[in-house]
Amino acid sequence: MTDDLTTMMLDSLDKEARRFDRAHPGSETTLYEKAIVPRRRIRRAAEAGVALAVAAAVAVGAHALVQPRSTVEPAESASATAVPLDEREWDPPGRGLVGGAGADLFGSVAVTREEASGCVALDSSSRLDGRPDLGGVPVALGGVAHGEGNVSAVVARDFDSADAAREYLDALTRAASACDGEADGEIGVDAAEVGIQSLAGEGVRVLVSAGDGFGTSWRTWVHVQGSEALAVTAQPGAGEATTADIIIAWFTAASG
Amino acid sequence: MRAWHGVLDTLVRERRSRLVGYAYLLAGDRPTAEDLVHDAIIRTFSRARRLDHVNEAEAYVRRTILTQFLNRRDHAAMARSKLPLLVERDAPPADEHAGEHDAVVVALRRLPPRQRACVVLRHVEGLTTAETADRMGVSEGAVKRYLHDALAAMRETLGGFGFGDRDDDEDLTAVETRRRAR
Repeated sequence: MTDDLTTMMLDSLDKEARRFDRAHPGSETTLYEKAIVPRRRIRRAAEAGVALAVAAAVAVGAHALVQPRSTVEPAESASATAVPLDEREWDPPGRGLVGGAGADLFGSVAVTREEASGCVALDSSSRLDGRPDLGGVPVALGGVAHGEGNVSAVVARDFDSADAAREYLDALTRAASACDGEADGEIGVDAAEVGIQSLAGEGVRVLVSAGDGFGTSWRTWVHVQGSEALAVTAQPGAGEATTADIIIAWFTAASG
Repeated sequence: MRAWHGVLDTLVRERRSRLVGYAYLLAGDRPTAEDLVHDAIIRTFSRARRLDHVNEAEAYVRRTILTQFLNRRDHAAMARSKLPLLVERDAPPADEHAGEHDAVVVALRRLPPRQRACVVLRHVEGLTTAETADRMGVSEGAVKRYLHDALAAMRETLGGFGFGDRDDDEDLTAVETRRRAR
């Protein structure tokens, strides 16, 4: 029986291969190269440690509607609770926090430092790492697992003041603009001022598109409330509403 | 031109059609098979640091096809995400029902994915039980059980296509012996 089965299966494989050959007479290597080249560039740069993990999150859920930044009233400082950022008890959505979440997990669009220093600055800015003059240090809270294998990186920082936090958002927007100019069309960078209707504060989301023809994009949303900021970096395919849920969960816990 | 470009070109020109055939046995329909192969080629060449030989690349692609097949949950969604590749083709869209005259494909399609994968790995790739288990990330006992159940089902489906009643597969014998011993 097994010999018969093997023969039948190999025969079907051959027939399907011949059919495919007839249907695809020309070379399609170029199509693959268009998809592969940018991905190899991303991977190489990520391995070299100059990954640009960026982005934004367009989280528009039933309870989280994006609004222009200016329409959202500033809130009291979340840091008024005086609980260290990494000790705050909060309840992330999805499957909760997972350990060991690093930047590589969240997808990255990369360019070399020599080619695009603005993009490198945007990379660090998306992780709240930069502008030490504004006070505070980034605290990596881990990754929030949700969906089918998606993990969003979450970083918090308590700036010196609410003004400093807002200044950071402005710097993030400028970095996104600079990166977009330097990327020369190889990647797309888009920044927008956003807010969440059910949550006080303001934010900026940055969307970095790989330009690989698949609509692949990495997103970071930095939301500030008072002097405190939370950055959520989502990998491609992550649900948009989940990003807002993470932000809401964090600041809700902060306000008690 | 870097080495991987040449390997990719050779793979696409000379090996892709048989990879599609291989994926077709696993997936049971053409759109999914073609999508599995497209995705596996892109993943393989995007990730591998060095790909100097087409045989090596083909082996990677086959492994990726299997992994993707076992892990996929929404074939339609993935197919839609590959639209840019698909729409640039000159050929008409694949007919997912055009292969149904192959009784063995119909029989395979009726099997659960892991059983199907075991049958293909053993009888098309010619892997041993241990190699099949390693490739699928399951125990050898699980492979034997999958094969036993799969071959029993296929024997029933393909009874009119020259399959005998006696099964001389050594794995099947081992499983049946163990079951009788319980």
